[in-house]
Amino acid sequence: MRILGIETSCDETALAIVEGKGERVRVARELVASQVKIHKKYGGVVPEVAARRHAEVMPWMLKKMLGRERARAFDVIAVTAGPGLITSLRVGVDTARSLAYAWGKPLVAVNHLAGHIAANFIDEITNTKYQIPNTKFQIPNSNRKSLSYKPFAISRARFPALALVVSGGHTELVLMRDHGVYELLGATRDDAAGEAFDKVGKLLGLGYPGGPAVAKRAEKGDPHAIPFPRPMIHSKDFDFSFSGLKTAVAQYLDVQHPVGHPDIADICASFQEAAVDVLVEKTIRAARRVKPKTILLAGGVAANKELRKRLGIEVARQLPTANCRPPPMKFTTDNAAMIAAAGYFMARKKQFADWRTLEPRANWEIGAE
Amino acid sequence: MKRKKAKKRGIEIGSPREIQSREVRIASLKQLRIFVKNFAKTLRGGEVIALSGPLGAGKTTFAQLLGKALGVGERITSPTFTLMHIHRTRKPLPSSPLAKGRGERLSILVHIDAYRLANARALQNIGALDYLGRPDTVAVVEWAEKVRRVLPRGTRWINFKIKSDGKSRELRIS
Repeated sequence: MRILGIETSCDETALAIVEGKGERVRVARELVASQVKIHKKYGGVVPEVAARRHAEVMPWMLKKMLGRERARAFDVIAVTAGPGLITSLRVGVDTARSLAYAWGKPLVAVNHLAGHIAANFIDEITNTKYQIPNTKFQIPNSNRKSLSYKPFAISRARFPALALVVSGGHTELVLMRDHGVYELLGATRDDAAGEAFDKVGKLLGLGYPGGPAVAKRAEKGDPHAIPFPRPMIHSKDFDFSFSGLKTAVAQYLDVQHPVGHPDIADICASFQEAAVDVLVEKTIRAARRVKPKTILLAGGVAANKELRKRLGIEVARQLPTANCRPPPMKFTTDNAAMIAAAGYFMARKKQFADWRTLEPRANWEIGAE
Repeated sequence: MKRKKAKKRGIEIGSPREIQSREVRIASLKQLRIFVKNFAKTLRGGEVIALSGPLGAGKTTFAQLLGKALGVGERITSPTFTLMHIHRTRKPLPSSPLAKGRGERLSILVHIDAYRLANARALQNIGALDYLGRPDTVAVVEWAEKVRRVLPRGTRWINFKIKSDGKSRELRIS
């Protein structure tokens, strides 16, 4: 089954066609247009500009993606229906609805977080030369037959699986009893983990989004230099809180270093250590409760090296029966292949949406109807 | 402590008299909770509450507590990423002081965050302005100074300041 994935939930317009067979999913074609540069110019996100940009590049990208095969290039359409920026989501959803109507293709509405999780089920390409797209259009690994695929270690995930989804907008622990069956165990009560990274970056003057910059500076710092709090690390539920940690960093800067030059590397390292501590500890605790066979990591912050390393180590040490391997780096950012992959598993279960009534949902909670 | 002093003067934290005053010193989360609870009682629907102040000053916490006071059942998280969250408020019990004068009008809490927005017009683009001033809606806008231009007249401003001890906050209301 070939799935066309459409992702426009934030500031990347992404299309992909993946091929699903049994438990295996591999990427046939991928196309991404990033708007990061445009929004940098404005110094923030301008929802209307984002939406207009999605709408501008969409026809061009579709043409490029489908080529001469047109409607024959795929069997099912999968689109991100939420959560995200409502104006941006609408472009993708309406594109998908139009195609579903015009070509009579079945349509599946994918939750963006479910997509991030599904990134773990995509087979890895071994000789990849993928770079994070930041220029106008890039065609990563487009349709080259010579690519050799290596089955990803957990591409055939064993269920139940526990997924930690961490990104700029999300921090969630999700239990998957099967493909397409999600149960939200816990989530952040205030800021997302990635948001805390971004805001600490801003506090330290590392620009926006500052998350990756914080992680980079942290490599050279002492993670035990400053005892930042680990909010809610001992609470019995599986919820998170990162607002207080961010505030602690702000306070540290105000009170300890009203003037002078604080050691940015140490602050970054200590902050990252605190954030990773909480994320790993909560995941392990949830795992002890639900006894998953697989532990998955997903979302933009899944690219954080420290988090990948620590989660791997702790799972191996404390939960020897569970399988844990972080997702391929290139699928941690927003992309359409993951949406198509999640769509494949949904289509297999015939969880289709009606093109007449499908509406984007800005605050769609994973697992909610 | 300010609170003790305030009591001596017969002003309770968050009392109508104090809310009308221009500056409130909040020393703890508990005090903020009391302040917000009393502040919520003054809301009738249609208000726009603009919050400003640095990162970590307590803007989202204020919005969370306000939501709680207004009977929002679901979780209120930072809207930095999706820019706007819309919450349904529960109808106040007839016995609750909130019910007085509010009737059944107030039913929506809109939580907006302008942190990532490039300019004031962007707020219009996400449809936020449709909610500002609606009689059934209370709107809380974080990082409101970035979108000052499009906020309606009569917007209530609360400026958060972190005091030098790092713990307490000064709320300037105008």
